[in-house]
Amino acid sequence: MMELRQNIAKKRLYEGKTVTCFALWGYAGSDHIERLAPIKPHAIWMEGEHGNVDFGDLPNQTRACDIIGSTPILRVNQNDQGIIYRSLDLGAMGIVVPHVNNKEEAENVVEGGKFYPIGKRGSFTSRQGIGVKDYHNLANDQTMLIILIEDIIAVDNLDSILEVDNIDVFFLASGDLAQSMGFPGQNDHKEVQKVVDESLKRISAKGKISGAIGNKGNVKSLYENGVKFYLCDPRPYMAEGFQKYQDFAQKALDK
Amino acid sequence: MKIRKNIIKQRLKEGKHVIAIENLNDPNSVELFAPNNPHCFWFEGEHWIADVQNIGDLTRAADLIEATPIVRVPRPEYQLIYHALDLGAQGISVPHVKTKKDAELVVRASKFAPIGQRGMFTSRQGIGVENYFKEANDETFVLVFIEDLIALDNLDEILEVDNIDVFFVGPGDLSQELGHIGEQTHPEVQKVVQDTITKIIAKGRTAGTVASLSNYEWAMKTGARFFLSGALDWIYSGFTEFNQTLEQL
Repeated sequence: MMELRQNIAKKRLYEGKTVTCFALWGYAGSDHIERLAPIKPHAIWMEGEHGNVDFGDLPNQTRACDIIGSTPILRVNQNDQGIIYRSLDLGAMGIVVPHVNNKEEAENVVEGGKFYPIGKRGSFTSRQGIGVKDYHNLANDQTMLIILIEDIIAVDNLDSILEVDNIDVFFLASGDLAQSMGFPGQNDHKEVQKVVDESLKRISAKGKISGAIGNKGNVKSLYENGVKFYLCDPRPYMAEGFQKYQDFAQKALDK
Repeated sequence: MKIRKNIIKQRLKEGKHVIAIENLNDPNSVELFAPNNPHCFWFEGEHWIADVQNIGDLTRAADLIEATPIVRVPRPEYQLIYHALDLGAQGISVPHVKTKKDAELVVRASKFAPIGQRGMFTSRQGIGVENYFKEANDETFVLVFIEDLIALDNLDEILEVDNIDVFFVGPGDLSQELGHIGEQTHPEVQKVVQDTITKIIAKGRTAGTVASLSNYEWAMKTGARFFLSGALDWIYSGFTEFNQTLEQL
């Protein structure tokens, strides 16, 4: 029999370690994913809320993650139990659910994401369960659930949301949060950042794990606020690299 | 409709450099790169996933953000070359050109008469373009790889072939034949690359080579003006830097 694949990201989080998760934003597709092996992200974020990843893409893309030892995570488009467990069935080991605004919505994520006795995920053997003995009893431990706190109403309801067990990461997403506070596009607005910082502290204070988009500029502040799950956007890396070459070439070569 | 201008041919003509970006063989990733104003994307069909099924989508994405799409075909073969152009490539890159005859074949396949005998077909780039067959040659970029020792022996003859925009000195395959496999920045490999570029420039032609994070300053001082550069290099570096910053906290 085969062993169930370990959820590397989840394991690290519960060991108190940080997780860096590579977002497939501007660099995507199964053959692209496999070439991330040398930098070995702990997790890889496939984009199904806003991006083009759909059910048909999941087996190949999650296989590419599995083969390089990164935990495949999918952000789904809505808080729907059927969508959540079908994504798990097709190979995702982590699910990110956007716009979770109250306790009931958080409970819905757990119900769709976990088998009995925790939830009522539809009974089916996932790609991750092929040949695994006792898969249905083991799967919950290796399944990771992440919810996005990204509306001001969710911040208001945060205490009751934090009471829901089996959510591994409470992820503060400043883009939509800014919008819900009346500052669309101004993620770095002082008031938005204040709410983010306070929410991160509230999550840590309850002994829960928080996440956010990390970059060179904000990593120190996030770390000090207790963030353990860091989502990394590769687009600034590419922009910076290209710019560096171009600046040099312009000086050295262009007439 | 007017034919789409070939941005990199124009840039080279103006004496500017060109950076061709590789590793982004995904149309959505290409389009998302738009804010950086790239001039060129390199779709990899010799070693990677660019093929007849995706060249249309890849080149459309590049066209929309006004970057010139180049496709590297697997080998110097007549039909393979113009098929990639038919599907939307505005530039063709051909590996392992070893002789004058190989170089002439590349030109014959890439250009319509009177320069060559490219198979007659209206490319994606020619849809609705009046006089496409007369205008296409001017907007078609041609690059050949000099990456075998035998090609270095034949270089003077190869450089006599007109209508090749860039002679690209490939350090990877040369490193293999020079006994330093994979060591693109080995001094002996760099010396051969530099000497070859110098010869190309001496004949009034344009040279290209690889610019990576470990050698881009060197590469950009060789006299070459066309560079193949990897998005992966930048991603590896940025992600590693972030992780190091985090680990030090």
